[in-house]
Amino acid sequence: MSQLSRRTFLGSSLLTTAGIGAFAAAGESGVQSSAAPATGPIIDAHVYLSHWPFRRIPCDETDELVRRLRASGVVEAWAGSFDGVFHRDVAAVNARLAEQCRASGGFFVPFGTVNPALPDWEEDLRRCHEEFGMPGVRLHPNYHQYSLDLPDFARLLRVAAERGMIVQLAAWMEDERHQHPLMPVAEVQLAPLAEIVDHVPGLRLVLLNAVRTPVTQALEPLVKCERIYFDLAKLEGMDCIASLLDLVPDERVLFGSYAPMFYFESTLLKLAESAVAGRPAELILRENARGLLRTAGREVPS
Amino acid sequence: MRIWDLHCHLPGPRMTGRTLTEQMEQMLMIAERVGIEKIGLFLRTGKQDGLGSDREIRDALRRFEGRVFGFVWCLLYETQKSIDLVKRWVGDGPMIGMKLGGDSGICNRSEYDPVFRQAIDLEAVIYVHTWIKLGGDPPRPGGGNLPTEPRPEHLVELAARYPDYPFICGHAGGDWELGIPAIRSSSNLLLEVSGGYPTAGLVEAGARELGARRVIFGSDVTGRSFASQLGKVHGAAIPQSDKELIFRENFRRLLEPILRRKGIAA
Repeated sequence: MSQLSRRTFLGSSLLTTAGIGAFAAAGESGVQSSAAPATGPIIDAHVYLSHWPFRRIPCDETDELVRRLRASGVVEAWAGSFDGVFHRDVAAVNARLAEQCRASGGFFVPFGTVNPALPDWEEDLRRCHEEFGMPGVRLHPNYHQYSLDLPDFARLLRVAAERGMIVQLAAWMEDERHQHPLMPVAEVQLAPLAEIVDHVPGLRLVLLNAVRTPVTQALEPLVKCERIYFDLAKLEGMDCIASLLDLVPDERVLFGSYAPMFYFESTLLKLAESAVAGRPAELILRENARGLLRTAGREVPS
Repeated sequence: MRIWDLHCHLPGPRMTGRTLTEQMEQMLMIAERVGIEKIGLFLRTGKQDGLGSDREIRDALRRFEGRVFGFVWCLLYETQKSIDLVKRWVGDGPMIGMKLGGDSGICNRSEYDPVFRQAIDLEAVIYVHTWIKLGGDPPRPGGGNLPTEPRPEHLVELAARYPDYPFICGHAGGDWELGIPAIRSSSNLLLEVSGGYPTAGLVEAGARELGARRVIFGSDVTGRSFASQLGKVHGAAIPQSDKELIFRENFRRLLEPILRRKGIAA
């Protein structure tokens, strides 16, 4: 499919109108809120619950975040926990996450934390799947201080794939230039990943915050592996989704906003900026996520 | 909502336009998709031929007068050259402002004052890149800055010498949790929100600590996305009236004197 036929340009773009019109309504307080955009339902594959340890973030209370995302057209959000990035009592983190998601009436879908560098991570993974019914897990190799050549990392991927679980890997959490001086953390080096994934049949791996600027050299090995997916939150550069879709098939791009750490609107407007509409927009906004959920044996939201 | 974007760059690496005018046209078309009417454009001058040459810059700015506002990029350590550039491009040419980047030198040094005096005489809009980068061993804020790269506190010192003239503190100091308080007491400094990732809370903190009249929108395309940067303001929990100030009114207010002087309608 040519790049031109992937996209519909200004004038016929539903998202162009939606992206801008989404911000037209002011709330009673005079503080503007996002009205539901005309994008159709959105599945946001990348949000976090609980609190970032170094600052309070607007909408970092679960109820607030639900309201905010719903107002923007989100019907379901795949949630990890900030606690899972920093806490070592992973079992307690996952139990809390499962409860918060249950209390949201299914709006949040829990993606538990598993750290293969911690003792008995297999039990944490089992509980995520069997006790909490999670469709997937979210990994943070850099914050958990292991590299991707750790043997237990590959083993974790295999066990998750055997269970039919989706694995999300967060490659980055915040700009290295602005981290708290007590805790600088480098981005995950993804180079070994393609080869590892090639040896794990059935794995569905979603990379979060992995692409800033779509560059062929860095992306090509990952793109070749058809079971690796990408989100949009960290993506930058003018017309950036168009640039991404030059390299990555639209069937493997998910709408992920990284809310509440990032302003949700920043990701939504990227679709308008790149005039993504029609079938590519449907795939990115919800259909690819639905497809992944089906592989994990989950019901999918309409 | 009407939106003017203070901070854009051309030529851009992925732009297909063969001339600066074509690239500007392309940029404006993409900007329109997300509601941006007018842009400020930071331009490096001095190229004799080809894409982005001085002739192309003049042609393109003439073509889009009143819609694209040029800022001439100066290096303060080339002090006399910077004075000449400001005279040529702002005083006698089509530009309206001066841009200082991360490679431009530490702005508070007194030997650079003649450049600022020249820009102020011409009522140029003055933009100063600032960043506080973590680096060094042990890591400390600012320890990762380039030797030529100012931090907000450098701009605070400069602005204190010209208390009646506005300066733009670019990128909110990079690390905005430090940048905002650093400029808080300098009432002639405006906080520009471009260039970093859209970390929630930035615009709310700027409006809370400085007042929305001192916060100004820029995107830093093509390196950044219009969308990611617009989302900072669209998504901020601040009143609509504050967003209008940040998206357009504050930039328009800074531009008024020089546009009037040049007879440019905007």
